[in-house]
Amino acid sequence: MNVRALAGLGLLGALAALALAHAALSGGAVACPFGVDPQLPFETVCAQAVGGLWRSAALGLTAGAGGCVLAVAFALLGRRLGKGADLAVEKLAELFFAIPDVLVLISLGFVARAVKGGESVSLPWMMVALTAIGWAAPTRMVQNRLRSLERLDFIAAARALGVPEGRLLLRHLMPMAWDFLLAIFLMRVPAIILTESTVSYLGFGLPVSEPSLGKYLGSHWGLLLQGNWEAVVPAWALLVAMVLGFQQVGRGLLERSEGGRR
Amino acid sequence: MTRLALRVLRDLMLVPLTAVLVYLAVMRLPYRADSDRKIATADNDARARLTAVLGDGSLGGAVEPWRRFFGGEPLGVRADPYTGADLRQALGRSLGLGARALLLALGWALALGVLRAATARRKVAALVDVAPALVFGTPLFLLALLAAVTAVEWGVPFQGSAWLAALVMAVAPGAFVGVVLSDALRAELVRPYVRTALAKGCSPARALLRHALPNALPALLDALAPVATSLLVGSFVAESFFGVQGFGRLYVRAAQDVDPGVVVVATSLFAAVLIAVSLAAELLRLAVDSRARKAAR
Amino acid sequence: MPALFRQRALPVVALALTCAACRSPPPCGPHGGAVTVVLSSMPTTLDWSQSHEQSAQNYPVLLAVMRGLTRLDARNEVQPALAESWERSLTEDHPPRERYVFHLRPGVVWSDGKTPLQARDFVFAWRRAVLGADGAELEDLQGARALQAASGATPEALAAAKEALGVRALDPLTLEVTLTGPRSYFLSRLANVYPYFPAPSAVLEGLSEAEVQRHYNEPKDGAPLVLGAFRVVRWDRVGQQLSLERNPHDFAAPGPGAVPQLELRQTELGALMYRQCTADFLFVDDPTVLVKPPADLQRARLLSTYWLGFNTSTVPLPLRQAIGHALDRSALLRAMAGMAPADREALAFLPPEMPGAVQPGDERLRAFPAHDEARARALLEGQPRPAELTLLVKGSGTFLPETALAEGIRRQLLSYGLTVRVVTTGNFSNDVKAADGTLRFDLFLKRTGADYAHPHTLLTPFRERGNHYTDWQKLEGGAVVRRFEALLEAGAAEDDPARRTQDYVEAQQLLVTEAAAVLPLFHPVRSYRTRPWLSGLTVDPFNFLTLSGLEVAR
Repeated sequence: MNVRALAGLGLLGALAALALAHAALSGGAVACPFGVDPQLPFETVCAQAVGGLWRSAALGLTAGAGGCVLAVAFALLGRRLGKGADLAVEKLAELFFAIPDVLVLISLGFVARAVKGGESVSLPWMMVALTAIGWAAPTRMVQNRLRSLERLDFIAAARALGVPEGRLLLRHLMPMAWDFLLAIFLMRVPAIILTESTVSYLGFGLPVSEPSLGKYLGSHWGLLLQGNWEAVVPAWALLVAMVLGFQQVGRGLLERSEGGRR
Repeated sequence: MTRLALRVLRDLMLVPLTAVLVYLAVMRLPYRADSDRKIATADNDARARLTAVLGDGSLGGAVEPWRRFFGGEPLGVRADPYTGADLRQALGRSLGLGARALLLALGWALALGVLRAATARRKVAALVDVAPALVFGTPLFLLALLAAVTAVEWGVPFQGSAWLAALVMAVAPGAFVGVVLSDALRAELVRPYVRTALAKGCSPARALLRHALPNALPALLDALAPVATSLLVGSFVAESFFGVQGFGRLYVRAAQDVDPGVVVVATSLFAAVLIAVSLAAELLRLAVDSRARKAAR
Repeated sequence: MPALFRQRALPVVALALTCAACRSPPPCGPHGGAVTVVLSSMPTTLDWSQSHEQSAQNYPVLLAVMRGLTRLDARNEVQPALAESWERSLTEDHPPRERYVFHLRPGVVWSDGKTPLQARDFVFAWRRAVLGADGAELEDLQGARALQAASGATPEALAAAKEALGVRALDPLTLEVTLTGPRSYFLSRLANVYPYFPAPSAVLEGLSEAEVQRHYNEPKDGAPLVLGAFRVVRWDRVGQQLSLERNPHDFAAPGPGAVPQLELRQTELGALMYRQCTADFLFVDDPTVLVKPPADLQRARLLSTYWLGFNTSTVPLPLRQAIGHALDRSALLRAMAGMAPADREALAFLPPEMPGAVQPGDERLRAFPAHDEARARALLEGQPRPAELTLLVKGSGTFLPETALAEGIRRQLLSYGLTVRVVTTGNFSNDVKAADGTLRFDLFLKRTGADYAHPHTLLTPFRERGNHYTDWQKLEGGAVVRRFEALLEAGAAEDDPARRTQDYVEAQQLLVTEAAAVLPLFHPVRSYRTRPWLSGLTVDPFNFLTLSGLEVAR
């Protein structure tokens, strides 16, 4: 483990501890030092910020994991079906990768508004949408990694010994790609969280009563203009800390995985 | 050369294809009439109004939004629709904004890249790394808010300010390009020709700027497409925030108000811009990089 | 070095922000230049005869550039404006029609300084307005419904229907108006409701419909011609900016401090502009500001009602009545932490400031549902509970804390075992109904505001063809809504104020108590900030920004 990953892990650990501490203390024994949420006076700023932390983390983790699972599935499927399919997957991923996630999510938000009405979407809807658009980047990376692994000597040797293709994949190739996959996954999480927060700011996110951090900031930033800092800064700090934490762990792992290859 | 021509042709074909697909999809959505009147008035047939403006949703109707876009005619079902002329004006404004942002982003990327490469092995490296990390970790609208509040403090008029919006748009792509550039610089700095230059008494600064930098610049071509994406998303946020009446803002508002005409035209134009950028990056690479030229033949 | 600057930019900016929070804003003193007003929404059209579905946002500009036959004074009483005087009579028909003869103020000219205001300007404008998007506002005119029905007919039939409309120019300065029946609210309505404003027929007659619309909506060279305090110089629709200047030919001479120019714009950064002294008026539409109100905050008490609507097709009567007694409105308002007026709780639908409304303490208010937990539980006893009630509420584009109110209602009803799911929308009228007209939600929250000073305006949405979204026109096969219409008709025809008040009380009881189609919650206030050196820049009880009397105080 390198320093970067440890620092990120520490940050994430601290956030988790904070959230757990809040859950333990929120019986009313300790008042929230930041007061109540001015937009929803039934909730404290602490509860909104921690709730947002959970929802943002849940969105990032599920959509990140979903995107990575899709990526592995597509990459393996392409590989299994032959060179043409492999190339088709690559081109399709490239095409999708070129379309900004935010643009796709706004378009989906437009469709949701036209079809079912209402301005916000539910948490599961957002998870599915983020997963559906988040497969392209990891797919390209997984494909590249598999191809470079293929060139290793022992793979060629195994193939020459007549190891069946499926076994080769599962027993030899995939185990070598695990920490790489973990790194990609961890890098995807902050990207997804930021995408979601931008879309929420533009008005296409979760409902105000059950906000993610991005939604909370997107609907509360106006308070800063009145000098009401205590309602905004906690969520802001949590968002930056979480994104930084995931980014650093992911980059640390990626560096290690690449270092190990060299 | 024929392979290149084919590639250009294929990419260009994607533009009308996207336009038609978006049109067909958008026209199939249900639309209702919008009215805050106290008493309903008889003519409230939203579908009929939509068809009158945007065609019947068939393949042949797909040209109707574009005829109106280029003809400057009304392009929506609201009673005060944006016209094609409004949209073209907004597009021009956004392209100007994008150009400014690109300029600022490149300037800031160059400075960050060189600084990061120059400090690679020193203790301050971690500090220099914090800046991009913080930038990547903060949503754009919060950066915009910081800029706006700072502008107020300094007495800079921010309302409708294209430079301020461009500055905010440039932060993230600049940091991204800066990191790509410094990685390329670091890779160049350990190569034999740089070491030779250093051994022959060339100063480290000169080795960095005169030798490594020119060789690292082609790496920026890979960053062009992500930068275009980042600028596009940035335009949604920055234009909305700073009240710049550009295309990004029009698009966001049209999606919020469920205004299909603008959404069709805007989505297709965004696709065209992204395709044009990727094509331009490819052509630039061919012009700069001889290995790529060989591969293309 | 840009990079060095940006390396330090974050801490510097953070520091600047901290200072921004603690430093008091600079004084923004009086200036003789253009006054900048930040609106919450820009007008959708300047064509006051054609109008638009979202007509509410056109009022501030149209009231600044135009005048009606009458005007309302500070006590909401009708005073002469373009009309100097009028006579009212009833015709011999059965039932009798109401006939007004207006005598126009002589010497009034349009803003080009030469075109005189004539009676046929009203004839031209009203014939067009009846066919416009706000045609329903003119349905009291004799022959208006027939003209609307003829809009798709032959040119001859259309021309005949136009001739038959109850508005005639008896001579250049005398206008005769015939209504389908006695309408006690008509003179008040003429003051504010802009489709009743005249149009410069001398300029517009003979032009095609498209050319007429261009005259209004593409301001240039003095067009559109107006009669108000200001005229439009420039309208940048995409840029959301509208520039007005004093109309030098306004018949009401401006005061010595009259503001020469007005810039109207819409921006999310209004609060920053106000701080930077680049804006002089600001609607405070974010209710959270009210939690810590700034020193120059003003509040206008609106002739509005915020109400809970029921889908009477899906929520049975006992359940509606139970909810009416279950909700504790004063607790709900108190929980809003200053975002809603705790002293404006509603029992009846009409606010007490409305002329002819019953006052607090009146015995008749006892007939309206009030918080009564025991009664609510008794009504719920044995009632099948729906698994979930959906509640539609505006999430954006509102100046009320609607999301918080919905959440408060959800929590209150949860203690009665009723589960409510809140759905927010940015496009209420689009989302409340499906394409076939079916209501999509069980409950909804809505504000209805008065357009003129008469009970009729606030009860209009609940008429049979009104946009009430409650399906109450289906109750008892339509018998309920017909009784309601009859009560409104009686109120409109009644000359005696006490008896008129009684008619409207009975109409409200039918709507709120007997049918339990709606539950009034409170009467909203609108908040705004303006410079102390500006006078005449206020929000009136109709939620219209008043600009006409704008002056720099000496």
